[in-house]
Amino acid sequence: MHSIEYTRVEIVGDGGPLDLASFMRLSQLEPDAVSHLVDSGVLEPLGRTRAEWRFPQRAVVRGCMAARLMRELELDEASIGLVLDLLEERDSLRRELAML
Amino acid sequence: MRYLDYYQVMGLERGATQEEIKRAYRKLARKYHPDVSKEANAEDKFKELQEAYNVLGDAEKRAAYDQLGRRQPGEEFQPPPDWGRSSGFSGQFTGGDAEFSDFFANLFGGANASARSGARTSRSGRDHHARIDVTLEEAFRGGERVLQLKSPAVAADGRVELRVRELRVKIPAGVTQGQQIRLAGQGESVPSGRQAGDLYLEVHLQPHPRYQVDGRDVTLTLPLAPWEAALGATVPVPTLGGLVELQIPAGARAGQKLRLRARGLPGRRPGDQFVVLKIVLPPAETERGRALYEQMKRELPFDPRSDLNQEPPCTASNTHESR
Repeated sequence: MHSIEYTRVEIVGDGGPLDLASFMRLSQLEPDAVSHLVDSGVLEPLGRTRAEWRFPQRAVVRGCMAARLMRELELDEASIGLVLDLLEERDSLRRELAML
Repeated sequence: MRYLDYYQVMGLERGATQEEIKRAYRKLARKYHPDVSKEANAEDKFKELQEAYNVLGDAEKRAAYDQLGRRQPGEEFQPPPDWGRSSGFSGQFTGGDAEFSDFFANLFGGANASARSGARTSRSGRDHHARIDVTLEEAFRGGERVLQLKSPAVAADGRVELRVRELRVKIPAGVTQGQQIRLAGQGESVPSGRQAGDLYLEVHLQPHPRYQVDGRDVTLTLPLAPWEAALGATVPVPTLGGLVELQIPAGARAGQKLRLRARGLPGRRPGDQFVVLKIVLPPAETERGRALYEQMKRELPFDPRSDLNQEPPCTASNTHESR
C-alpha cells in the first residue's frame, strides 16, 4: 500500500545565516512584516542594509514563531515583540524553577 | 470515517452566533497554541480547534456541516451520496498539509493550504511545515524516525481520500529547540517539470526529567551531602555522553553553578553542561543520626540566621507604631 522512502535532510541555517529570500520562504513572513520586525528589534539580522541582511539561527527560530503567532492568534506586529520576550522569560523562569 | 462534533470541540451550542464562534476560537487558540501552551496535548487540541473553526467560522461550510445533522462524536459516518452536488465542496480540493482529519478531507476536500503552506512561486509546489518531537537523547546522538505523510488525493471515483506514505528521516545530531530540518522535495508534489515544495520539520525538544535545555546548553541539578559540599569531593555526574567525574571545591554552596565545557549538545560550537549544586540533608531518623546532629549542635558555633538578627541598616529608624 505504501513504501518507505529514504530522504536526505539538512538543518536549516547550519551552513550559515540565511539571506532575506530564504528567510521569508521559511518563516512565511511578508517583506513588510520582516521590515517591521527588524525595525522594532524583534529580529536582529546581521548586516546594515536590507540587501545585506543575513538571519542567524536565533533570528530564524524567532521569526518562525513570530509568523505563526501573528497568523494563528491574530497578533499584530506591534505586540509580537512583547509576546516573544515574555514567552522567553517565562520559559527561562520555568527552567530555573525546575532546577530547584 | 468518524463523525467529529465541531461544536463540542469549540465548547459551543449549535445555535451559536458567528461572533460567539470567533470569540470561542480566539480564546481557545490562546489556550492551546503550541508555542504558548505547555499542556501535553496542546498541539492536537489546537489542530482540532483550527479544523473546527475552519468549518464553523465559514458560514457556507457551517451550513453544509449543520445539514449533516447531529451525531455522536466518533460515530461511523458516510456523507450523503449527493453531498458533492448539494454542498458544492467536492471541487475545492486544494492539496496542502493534510493536517486535518479524514472527516474534514472527505467533506471539504483537504486542508485549506493557505493555513500552513507558503507558496514559493505560482509554478512550484508549496512548502509544507510540520513539527517533530525529538528527545534530548536523539538531539545529542542523532536518530532516525519514520514519518507518515498523509496527503489528500482524488481517487478514481472522484472522491477525495488521504494517501499515506512513509518517509525515513535521519535526525542530525545537535539539533536544538525551534530549529528547522529541511527535507528537499518532500513538500507538495506537482506534475513533472516543476519543482516540488520542501517539507520543513520544526524541532520540538521534549522535556527531559533530568536536564533543562537552553539552546545547546544543558543544566543538571546535582544533589550533594553537606560534608561533600563542605569538604569538597569528587562525584560522578551524568552527562548526555555518559558519566564524568566532577571535582566539587571545598566550601561549595547550594545554588552554585559549575560548568562542564562542551558536554552539552554537539555543534560547530558545542554547548556546555551546567551543574547546579543542591545540598540534601541526611535525615535524623536513627539514633546515630540524631546523635551526630546533636554533636554538631553542641560543638559548631553556627547561626544560620545571623543576618536576620541584626537590625536592618536603613529601615530601622523609620519603623514606628502606626496606631
